[in-house]
Amino acid sequence: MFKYVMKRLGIIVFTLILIISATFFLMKLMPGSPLANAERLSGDQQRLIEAQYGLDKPLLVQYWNYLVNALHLDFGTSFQFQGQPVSTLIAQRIGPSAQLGIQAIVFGVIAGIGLGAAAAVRRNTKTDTALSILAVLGISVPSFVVAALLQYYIGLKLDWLPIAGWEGFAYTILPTIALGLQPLAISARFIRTEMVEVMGSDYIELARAKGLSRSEIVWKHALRNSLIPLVTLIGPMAVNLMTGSIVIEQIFTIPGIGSQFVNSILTNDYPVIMGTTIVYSMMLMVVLLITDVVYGLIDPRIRLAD
Amino acid sequence: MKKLTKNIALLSAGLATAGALGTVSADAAKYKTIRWSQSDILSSMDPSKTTTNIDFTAITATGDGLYRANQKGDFVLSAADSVEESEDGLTNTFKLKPDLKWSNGDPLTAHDFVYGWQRTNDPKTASQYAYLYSGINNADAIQKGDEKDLSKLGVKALDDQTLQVELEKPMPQLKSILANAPFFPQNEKFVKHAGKKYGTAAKYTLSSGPYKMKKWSGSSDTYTLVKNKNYYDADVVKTPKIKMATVKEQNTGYNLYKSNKLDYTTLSPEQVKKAKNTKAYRTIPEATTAYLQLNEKKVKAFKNTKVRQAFSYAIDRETFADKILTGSATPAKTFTATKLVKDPNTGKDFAKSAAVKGVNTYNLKKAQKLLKQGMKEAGVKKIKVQMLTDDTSGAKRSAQFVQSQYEKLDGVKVTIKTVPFKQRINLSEKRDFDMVVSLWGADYADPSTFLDLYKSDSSFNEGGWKNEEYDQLLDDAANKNVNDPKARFKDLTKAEQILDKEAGLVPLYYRSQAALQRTSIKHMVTNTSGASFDWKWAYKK
Repeated sequence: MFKYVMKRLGIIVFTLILIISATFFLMKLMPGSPLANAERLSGDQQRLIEAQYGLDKPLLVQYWNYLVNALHLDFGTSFQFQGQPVSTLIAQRIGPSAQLGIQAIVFGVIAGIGLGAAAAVRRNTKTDTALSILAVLGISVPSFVVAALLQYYIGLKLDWLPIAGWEGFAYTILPTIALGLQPLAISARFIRTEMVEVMGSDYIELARAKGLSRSEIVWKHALRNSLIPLVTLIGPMAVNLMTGSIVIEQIFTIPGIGSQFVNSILTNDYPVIMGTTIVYSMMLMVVLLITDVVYGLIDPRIRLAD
Repeated sequence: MKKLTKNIALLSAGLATAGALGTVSADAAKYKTIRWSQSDILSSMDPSKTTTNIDFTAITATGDGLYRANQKGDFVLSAADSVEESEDGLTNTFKLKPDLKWSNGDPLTAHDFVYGWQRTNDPKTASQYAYLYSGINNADAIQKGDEKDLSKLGVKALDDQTLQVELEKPMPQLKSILANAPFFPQNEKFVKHAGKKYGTAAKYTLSSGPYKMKKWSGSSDTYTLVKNKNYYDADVVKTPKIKMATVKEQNTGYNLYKSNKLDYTTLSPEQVKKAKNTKAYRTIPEATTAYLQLNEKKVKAFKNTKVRQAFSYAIDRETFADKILTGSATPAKTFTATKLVKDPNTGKDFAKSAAVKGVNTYNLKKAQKLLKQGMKEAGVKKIKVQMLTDDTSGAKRSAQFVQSQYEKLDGVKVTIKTVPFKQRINLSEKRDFDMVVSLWGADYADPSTFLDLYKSDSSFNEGGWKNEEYDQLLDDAANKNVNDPKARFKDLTKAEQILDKEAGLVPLYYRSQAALQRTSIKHMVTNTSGASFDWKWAYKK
């Protein structure tokens, strides 16, 4: 196990260097100057200022400098936020994004399991059909549409929860629901299919024959065994959340990293683009590693190759 | 990682207290907290390094220049008590108000101006607004690195209270630019102590203006301004506190306004239709003109004046402003935007008095006729051009409208190319376009901030239009008649009219910002150049 994890970590570092290199050169292909006020500066004025940032040096030199600095955990300072170190910028804004992402996945998966199980148990009834429709809607309706509807009806019309902002738990509820709907739908559908299959298997028949109660069968035998494959879905879900959160943060004015990431690309803020890319890809790779390890731990049929 | 979690903890603790404080002080004071919104995040509080209009607004709230725009929009002495101008207009000697103080209690002296100005011009600072100093002694040379001695910059402290500003040439825009953030004083001791962090968070800012900056982490979406008791004019500042929120989605802003969580929000064209008839509706002019540049180097037909004129007459600007850009635009008849400056000869808005009747208006028949003649003269049978524009939904809609107007012209075919903003700027600089939708906003309150752009040697003249008389008139306005406002404005008017009549470029609309602003807020000042908003006199009851 230890060996496996070390090997995976090694791959992560290698992948990261590949990502840094690819992003760096792709980013430099984007036309335009990183200077926020470039539109008002003549070409000569821009060159003079850019030279102060070392942007006049050959691309390979810039690349090497970046790699060396990044190894020393110096990710440079932002162009848009003059003088602000990228590490500070990300540290200040990643908290709300992480909180929102975790809440959404926890809410989505738990609610999804409940609904999925309910649908499986009441298979081919009205409840099942209703939940299926809900699941299809949850997957196909984009989260920003749900966000706008929640904000308008629950926030403005009913005045039950804050419309936007980030000043306490109440402020996180609507964005969590908006963002959590997709994981909810995915896990509900997944659990329903798994449960239906498990419910028809021989050992459930045996349990029934032994005279176990219905709830015991559902909770102890069917649901537990259906949960295991769900772990594999967490990784892809996390990716969806990262991209989904960009819009959600904007709609609910959450001071997260998502909208800033988009902004940095639009403004050619090179150091912030690099920093955020590194953090995003790190998070994703770590989530994938964790799900793989956890899967190996909970499913005895899977043995991680040492 | 440890540091990271600590930062997160600190941040959430800060947010929690911010939330708690907000509810307590609501009815404590007679004047209420003003809750404003901005469309993008505050990025720097360093007057030397600021890059955006949003920064300008926050720095102006917490700073003061030698001049400040008053409630009528006139530039009046602020930190300065009096000014003496030499006969040639090249030396201005300012006497500062007595006992000026920084918000930390330090005395504010003429040396603080000298330090701030030198710092902005120092090439090492890499200031993106230092170009505004052009005209002040040695500013250009210092910025280019030709002059290494910062003390050669044309600003000197004769004593603690006397500041002497020396110019290379008279600057008619001087009052206007001196009211801008990059010309504010800076406290050397404080700046050096903060080092690289100066202006990157609330605690690394120092106020010389009506308010102090609080609760700003350097990248937070929100900040708070509280009254600065050490401001020389603190008596007129009524509002104890201003809370700023960044709201990028106009729907969210509208909902927050409706539920009384905000006092100000900008509106999209769709929202304007709903809000237009309410008392809180207002449009804020920006002194920004949208215009088409026709690339004479790439499209042979654009060298012909009649063809260019046809491209102007073909556009129904009224419909464009009303139906497409609802609330955020008025039809443009001139390049220089309205609400920028008054013409001393007529006493009216420069753009209005300079506008030539019948030019830059909609006249399809005339357009057809001119186009036919022009194409014949130029020896072309067809004009197939690509229009470059931004990839925002608003820009796309605008481009489609302009395209539909040109479809009515025989022999003209216009396609649209949308690119991200940075790329549009880049392609424009490289003159790599047939025609491009450009926008220009005033740097200062003088027509030259627009007209100089289209001098034949200007790097912003991306269309490549040339007119000797135009160049000469602007030269006269900058040199021969510079100290005679009336003659100078005659030159500028003539120049504007030549540009418009010859269609050196095609003005489309003057941009403005449609917004809802609570009627309980009084004496709010908006500026068309420099800081958009000034809360110095504003209050809410």
